[in-house]
Amino acid sequence: MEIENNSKLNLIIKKNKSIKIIVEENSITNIQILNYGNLNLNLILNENSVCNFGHINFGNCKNNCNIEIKKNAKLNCGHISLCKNNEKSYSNINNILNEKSNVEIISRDIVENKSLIDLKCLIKINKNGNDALGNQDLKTLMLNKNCVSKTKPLLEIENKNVKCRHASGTIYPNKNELFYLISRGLKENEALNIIKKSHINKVLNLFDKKNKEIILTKI
Amino acid sequence: MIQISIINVIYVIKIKENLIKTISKKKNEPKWMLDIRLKALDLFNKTDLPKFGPNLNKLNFNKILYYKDPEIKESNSWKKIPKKVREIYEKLGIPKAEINSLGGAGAQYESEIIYHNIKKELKEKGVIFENMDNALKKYPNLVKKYFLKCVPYNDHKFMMLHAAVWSGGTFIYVPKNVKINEPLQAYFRMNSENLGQFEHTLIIAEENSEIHYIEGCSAPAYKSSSLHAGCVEIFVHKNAKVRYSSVENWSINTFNLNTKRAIVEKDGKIEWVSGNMGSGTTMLYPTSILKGENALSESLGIAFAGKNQNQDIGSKAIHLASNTKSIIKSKSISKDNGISTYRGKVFVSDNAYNCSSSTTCDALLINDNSISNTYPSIDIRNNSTENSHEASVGRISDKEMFFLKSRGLNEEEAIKLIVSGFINPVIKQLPLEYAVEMNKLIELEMENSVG
Repeated sequence: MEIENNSKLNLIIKKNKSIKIIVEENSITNIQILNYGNLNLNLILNENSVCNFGHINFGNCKNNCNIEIKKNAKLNCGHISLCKNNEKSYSNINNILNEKSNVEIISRDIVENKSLIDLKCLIKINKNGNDALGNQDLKTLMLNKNCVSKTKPLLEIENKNVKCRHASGTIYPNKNELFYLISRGLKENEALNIIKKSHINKVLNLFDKKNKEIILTKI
Repeated sequence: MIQISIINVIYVIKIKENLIKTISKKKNEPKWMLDIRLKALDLFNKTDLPKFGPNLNKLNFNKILYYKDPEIKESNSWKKIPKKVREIYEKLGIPKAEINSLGGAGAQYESEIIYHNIKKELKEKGVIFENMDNALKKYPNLVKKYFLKCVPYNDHKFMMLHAAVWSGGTFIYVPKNVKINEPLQAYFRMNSENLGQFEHTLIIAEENSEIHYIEGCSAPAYKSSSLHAGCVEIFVHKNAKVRYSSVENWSINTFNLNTKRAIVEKDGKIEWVSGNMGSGTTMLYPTSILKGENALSESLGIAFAGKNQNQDIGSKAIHLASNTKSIIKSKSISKDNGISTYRGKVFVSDNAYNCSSSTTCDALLINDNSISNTYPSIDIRNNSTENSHEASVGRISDKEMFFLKSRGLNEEEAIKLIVSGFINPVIKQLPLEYAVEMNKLIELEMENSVG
């Protein structure tokens, strides 16, 4: 699948799917994927392209994304996994950066009720990746005692002229925030919903209005 | 299969039972120790090399000298150590440090401890600081209670090898309520070509006790490989505190595949402070098992990977009880074609509530062909944990270089100063002599970094 300039791609994956997406040189694109099944994705950003990539896993699913970002290209990648009620989500995102390319990955997962989220996210910069920039920001919101969050933010850097960082954390609903919202008249589940929405808000901005509504109803 | 068995040197074509029985007989060990050795050997011969980490294919087990008796009787006086050997330790400053600032010192040469001494006042308080082989004879029940209980012999392939052929090492027992103000130190030296050193260090800190233990090591460089597969087991009982500092400076031909682990009980604290400079290939992951409530683990480490070095190091924190805390700080420098890797793990079990864990790894790449990898694994199983991990990789900042050069420093001096500042948070936790040694070693490595 080749995507031209200023185009938008909306995909809903229900079962197993392997997709290869090539973003043309010098183009700006927007890709949104709602995954309910097993996704194998190869994404190539050609030179000077910019891609806003929003990707969400609902429930029991797996996804394996291999992304190559060529010279001067930029990827803003937002990832969400939503797991509730004994569900398991496995995500493997591999990013290979070339010269002067840039990747910004934000992941905001929510796990509750005996569910499991397993996220592995790699930024790899080879010897020819001069002046590449990579940033990963991964956070998981754990709502109950009996859920599991496994995170592996990985870096493989073979060039000294790069800036690369990652940060990852697990958080739980802040008691002070909950108290504040409940004291404003909200019920506990309403307050939790607000906290969940604020947790994923940064990534939600990569989706259009229709997809946002789908995501918010699923929360 | 041919086995050449001389009284003091055991060099075999393949590791066989006879080797193990010879070592055990020479040490006059109890049967239970020999049984462990044989079981471990059997497992070792059946187990593959690890599938992660540096390439270990160049490590030829058939060419390693598994035991060499230095033929020096253990003494508590440096004067009784042969001059040629004593001079090695004098150059390292061990005898002087013992007088000035240590509570006790030990020295291992090849496969045996040749020197061990502890201050009289510590002995009177009931502190035991012994050669591991002697401790097995003098305190068999105590050793049996703890030996290989922190790191079981079947833990991984190099632990199996260690359990089969271990020799030498240090046993430390600190009784209840005893706080040792001065550090105890041991220094390990591999002098022969192709030698394998497999010392076992066992530290037991009883309730409310405190100890700081330091280990240093070195070896001359040869063309063929040497192997270091030691083991450190630390038991930190209730409200006790143990600080374990080490500076590993093996030669470039050494494979350093050490295992270090501590079990920390309620209110206990373990501090790991490590500097890894030497060896061609290192795989080292000090692990803290936080078994009791409020247990605390702090791990500070520096790794330097220069030409042809692969430093695969990290730290693990396993939270098994509530209110436990772990802090991991790792700094690495890669130069020339050196590879530095941080490989860590944080695990919080489902019944460990209100824990907190923080990991910071920073990597500095000096040249174009240096490599840095970061492979953390974070596994959290309940929702009351505060966990954070951050890592950064980059090169020396142009702004910093410009600032220092504008102050009259040349490029090489500026690089040395910046690197020194980069590693300072860890260096300052080391005892002064080791901090000075590490700084000097890194300075030497930084020479000719320009270009």
